[in-house]
Amino acid sequence: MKTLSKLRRRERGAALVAALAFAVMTALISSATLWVSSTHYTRAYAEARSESALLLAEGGVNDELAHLAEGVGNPDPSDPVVTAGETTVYPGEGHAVYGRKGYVSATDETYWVCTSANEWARSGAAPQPWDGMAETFWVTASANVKGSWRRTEVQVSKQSLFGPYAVYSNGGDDNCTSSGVSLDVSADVTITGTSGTNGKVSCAAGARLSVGSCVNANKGNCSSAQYTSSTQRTGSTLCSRNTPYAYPSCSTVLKKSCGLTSYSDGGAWSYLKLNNDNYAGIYTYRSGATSSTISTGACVRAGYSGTTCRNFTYFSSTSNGAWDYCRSKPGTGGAVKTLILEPGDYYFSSLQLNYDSGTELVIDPQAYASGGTPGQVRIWINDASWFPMDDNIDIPIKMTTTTGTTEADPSLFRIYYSKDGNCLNFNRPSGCKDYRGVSITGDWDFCGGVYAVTRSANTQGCSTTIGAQVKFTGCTSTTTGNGKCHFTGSVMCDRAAFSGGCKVDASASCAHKKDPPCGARICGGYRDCR
Amino acid sequence: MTAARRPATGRRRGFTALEGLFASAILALAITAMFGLWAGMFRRIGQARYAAQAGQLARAEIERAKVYGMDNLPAGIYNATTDSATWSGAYSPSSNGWVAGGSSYFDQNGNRLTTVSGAALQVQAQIVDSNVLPKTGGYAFGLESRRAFVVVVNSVADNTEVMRMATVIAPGGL
Repeated sequence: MKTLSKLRRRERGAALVAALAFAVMTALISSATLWVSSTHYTRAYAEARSESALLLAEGGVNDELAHLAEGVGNPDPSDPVVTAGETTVYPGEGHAVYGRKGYVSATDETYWVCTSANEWARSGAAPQPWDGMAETFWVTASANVKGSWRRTEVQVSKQSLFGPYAVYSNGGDDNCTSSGVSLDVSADVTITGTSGTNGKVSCAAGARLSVGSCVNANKGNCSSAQYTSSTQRTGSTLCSRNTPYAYPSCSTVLKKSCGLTSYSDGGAWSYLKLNNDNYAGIYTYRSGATSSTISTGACVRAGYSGTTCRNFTYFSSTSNGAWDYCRSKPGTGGAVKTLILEPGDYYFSSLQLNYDSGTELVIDPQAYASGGTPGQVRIWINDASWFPMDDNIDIPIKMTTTTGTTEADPSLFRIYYSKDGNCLNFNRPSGCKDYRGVSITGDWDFCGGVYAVTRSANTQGCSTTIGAQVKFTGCTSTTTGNGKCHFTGSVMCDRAAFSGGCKVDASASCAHKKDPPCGARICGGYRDCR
Repeated sequence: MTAARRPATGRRRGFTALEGLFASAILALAITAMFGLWAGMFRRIGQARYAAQAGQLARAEIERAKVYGMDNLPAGIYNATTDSATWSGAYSPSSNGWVAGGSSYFDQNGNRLTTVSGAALQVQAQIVDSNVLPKTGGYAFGLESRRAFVVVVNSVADNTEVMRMATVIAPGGL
């Protein structure tokens, strides 16, 4: 009995203990399942947020590409530095996140994007700003979506300024009274590719203009009198834009292209005047050469180092300019002298090439004459004197081509014209005869890129005495020879003018890696820096 | 002995009843709490599945937009004041393209449905174009133009937003 009683006493509270034990076990099981479900829930959302952050970072990269394209020729990259007031820290980094902060409409998430010369995010190297000219560079974007960070880094290459347009006139003033593009009464102009203007397009009565797609920019000031659909070919588009495309001046391009950004405009031109390839790059035929094929065997340095390029006696000078240093072209009986420009940068204060059957200009980007490295031939024209003159190219410009091709490459020849208030003329004169006395018929071909911008768009105006003009003049239907002035490539200028028969053909191959940039495109490495 | 045993037995029985009462109460509480937690757990699992599904749908929609690219996504309505344009709608395979003003619907397994009936998720896209070039009857894109593409995934049951993803599409971009 005693044992039974003892046993019963021991049973007291057993149900409660069992219930409590059950409750504890239930709590434990519930907690575990709750933890699992909660983790599952959290991870599902975290994964989605992370994906969202990656897409946002990629959007940030794209936004920077568009941002770079806004600064035509002179982009304003978002530098890899902490912007003023930024305190957000990318996880694991001891500083605020680099770059420009951006948003996507209709979301509250943010990204930070920057452009750099090097790939810094993945390598851990110190970021270096892009100088605006290096051919390839990196765009890095970091994005944060509700606490989830992702970072994307891509390699991009700059796009050439000489790509998008056949002809773009930068000129245009506050009230659009001056012409960005003008055609005189004799003009018969065909432009293929896209044309654009910040200013007025004026066609004299009787002039004929045929254009493809056009962009009328600066509509905020220039509400009318620009390109119209009546001059467009079928299937073309006519777009507009309130603000002008602001092309940088030739001086700015020079400073960026030649690494002279610390110089003043005048200082940069003075530097180029003293440091150029005029001596080293100007070639001609050797004395006694038997073949007119341009080669190291047939050609030699001309020995000319002057900064005027003319093929006739100028005023009281007894010099015939650069051609005095040139020798005869084999096979012409000594009637033709040839000047050859090898790849490099040339500075001239004056380019006066009147038509003369006895002078020939050859652009040799293939470097056949010197045996050097093929590359771009760039002519820089500026004159700081009191009386700068207009410049003329009235002779055909020949270009060497790669072996197996006969078509000149427009990406390999550039003229940068920086004479404010002057004009660079491309003429196809009538009545021309070659050195044998045979009349020259047909179109006169020029090939390359011409950049003649001296004025800021829409700020200082552009008239017949302000800004740089590029003028094309061809034969009319009634003049001898009846050939057009035919330009293949891209022309950017303050003002474009046309007279007689002219044809400008945009070329998809006009862009070159050494050109000033006009936006950028992804060219290589994509890094998800997770 | 009898007198001595009775109180003992009575105390034991009484105590057991009270104890049983307490035990039942605890069990009831535990079971109630457990079911409550399970309900919450199932809800959370459902939400997690929604979130995962919505994330995949949103991502797929953005990838589709990228494949279409700058020029092939639908054009919006141009606003001259802001120099921008907006569009909203959804992709519809049956229409073989983007349908303005529409939505696309998906069941809880991510299968596309033709109508809202039986749908768990509703997907809509918004496009905001900036820096565009207006032209007669619309607008065009320049190198500096951007197309912000936003996908919103809502729960059909309570019309709450489950997921929102966005990106920017630009010429020559990703």
